[in-house]
Amino acid sequence: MSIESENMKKREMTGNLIHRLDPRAKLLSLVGLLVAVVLSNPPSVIPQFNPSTFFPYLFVILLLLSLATISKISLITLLKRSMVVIPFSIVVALFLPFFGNGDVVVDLVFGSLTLSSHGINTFVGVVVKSYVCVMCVILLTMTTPFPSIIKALGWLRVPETYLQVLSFLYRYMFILMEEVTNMKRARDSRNPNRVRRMWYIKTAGLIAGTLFIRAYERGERVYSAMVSRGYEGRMPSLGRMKMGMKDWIFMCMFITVSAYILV
Amino acid sequence: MRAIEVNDVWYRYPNQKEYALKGINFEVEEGEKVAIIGANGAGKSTLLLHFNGILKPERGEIKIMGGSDVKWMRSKVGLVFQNPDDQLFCPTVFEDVAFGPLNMGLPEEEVVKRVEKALKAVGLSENSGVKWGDRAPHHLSYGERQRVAIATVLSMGVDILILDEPTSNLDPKMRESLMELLLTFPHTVVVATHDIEFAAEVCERIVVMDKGEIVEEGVAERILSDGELLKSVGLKAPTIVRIFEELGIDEKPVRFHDGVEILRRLKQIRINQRGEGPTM
Repeated sequence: MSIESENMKKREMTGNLIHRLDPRAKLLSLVGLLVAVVLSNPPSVIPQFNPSTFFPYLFVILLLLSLATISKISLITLLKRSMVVIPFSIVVALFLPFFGNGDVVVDLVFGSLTLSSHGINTFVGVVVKSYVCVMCVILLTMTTPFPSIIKALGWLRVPETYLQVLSFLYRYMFILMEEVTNMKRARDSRNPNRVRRMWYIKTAGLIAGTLFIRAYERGERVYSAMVSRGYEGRMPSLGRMKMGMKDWIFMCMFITVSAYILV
Repeated sequence: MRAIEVNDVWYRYPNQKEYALKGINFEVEEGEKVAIIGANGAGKSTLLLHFNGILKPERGEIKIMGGSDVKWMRSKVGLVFQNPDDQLFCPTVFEDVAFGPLNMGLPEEEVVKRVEKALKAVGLSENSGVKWGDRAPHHLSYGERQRVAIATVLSMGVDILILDEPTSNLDPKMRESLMELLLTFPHTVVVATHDIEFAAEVCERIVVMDKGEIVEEGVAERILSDGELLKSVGLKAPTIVRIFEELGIDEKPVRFHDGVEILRRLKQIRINQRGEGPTM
């Protein structure tokens, strides 16, 4: 499984600078940068294309790429993975050009359906910003083991229940996936020769239902295992995180960059 | 002091008419290794869940080392569930093994010490070059996961180990090493299983359950050599017992090595007879 092998890699690369940083420093820096990117003024494309409004985003991408290089992460993987968000952001932002005030640029149906310059700028902004933001998050997850991220989130006072659900998701995702694979195999091995689409759709529903019940029952069993070891609603954890000099430097660097983007 | 005392325990699951446990009575002495055997659905697992206060009897009472308070029970009894994936719910092995001790409110250094000790006790020590503590449970093999599952209760410093069907998914080699591992433990051990041979090798005393009741209990040699009894509850005597029965030999060893010992003796007698008597 690709995620598993990636986790192995993360463990092996703990000697690396970015990997070794305190997860809280990484989380705060990258989330800070993310907020700054979201709040920044959108670039201007219309009525006048102004390349300088794109510089902050290019700068952030370059910064992220150089961090990726230091952490020995494949740049192509990072760029490619961040592309995941593009279809979603385009769909979400698709209608923005039709709304928003500002001068009408294109008149499609005699003034009732128009594209505004403000709308188009916002559209471009949403797509570019979402790409940069997702890149931030992917860099974080590629350089930080999942349990450390959860720990850092806990330190930031993210609600305990939410974090417990997250860590259970991480723990049991592979097991659930394995269960689905097994059920699919069992289904396909009894597959009649002629494959009908309806048949697949129907059995997919059955598999989903069975998976739900199995997961529910497993949940009960896991809960009794937790209770029998003294669980009382809180996940105890050992505070083994330490903020060092390089963590502070890393954070200061990101605060500076974030400020630059906002201004 | 008795490790476990069960007095006339009745239990039925919510919305069920039939009782899953019908007046269970039995005792386990400290340091004893006991197997509860029975077919599927005999009530073994239901009984085990009572030892940890997860299920509470409708009637009757259970005492663990003299006490019946739930917190006390859980600090004394370590329950290892059938499927290690149910037992291991933390992102890393270290956190999982530390879960119990941390819930007990122990200081950090003590917890770290206990985790190391527990992992060592199940043969997953840090010396082997692998950082077991940092690994994620889903990267471990089934046998390793089960060892970690046992470590998660050992780290709590329990006196009584309860295992539910520990051999059900193990391959022969892992089963063998689990057997050896359990024999090294000084703990009181209660194993629910239908793996008769496993019960014979590990436990001195056997409790036979059927349909929510205890049918018979006694030393392993007597219970496991009673083919009729085992058959009547849907089980089978160990292979070695059946071989001896088939050959009409009076002795009925239940453990593999005892059987081999007897056969070796018989073979020796035959060789001696052949040497003395007239040859055919």
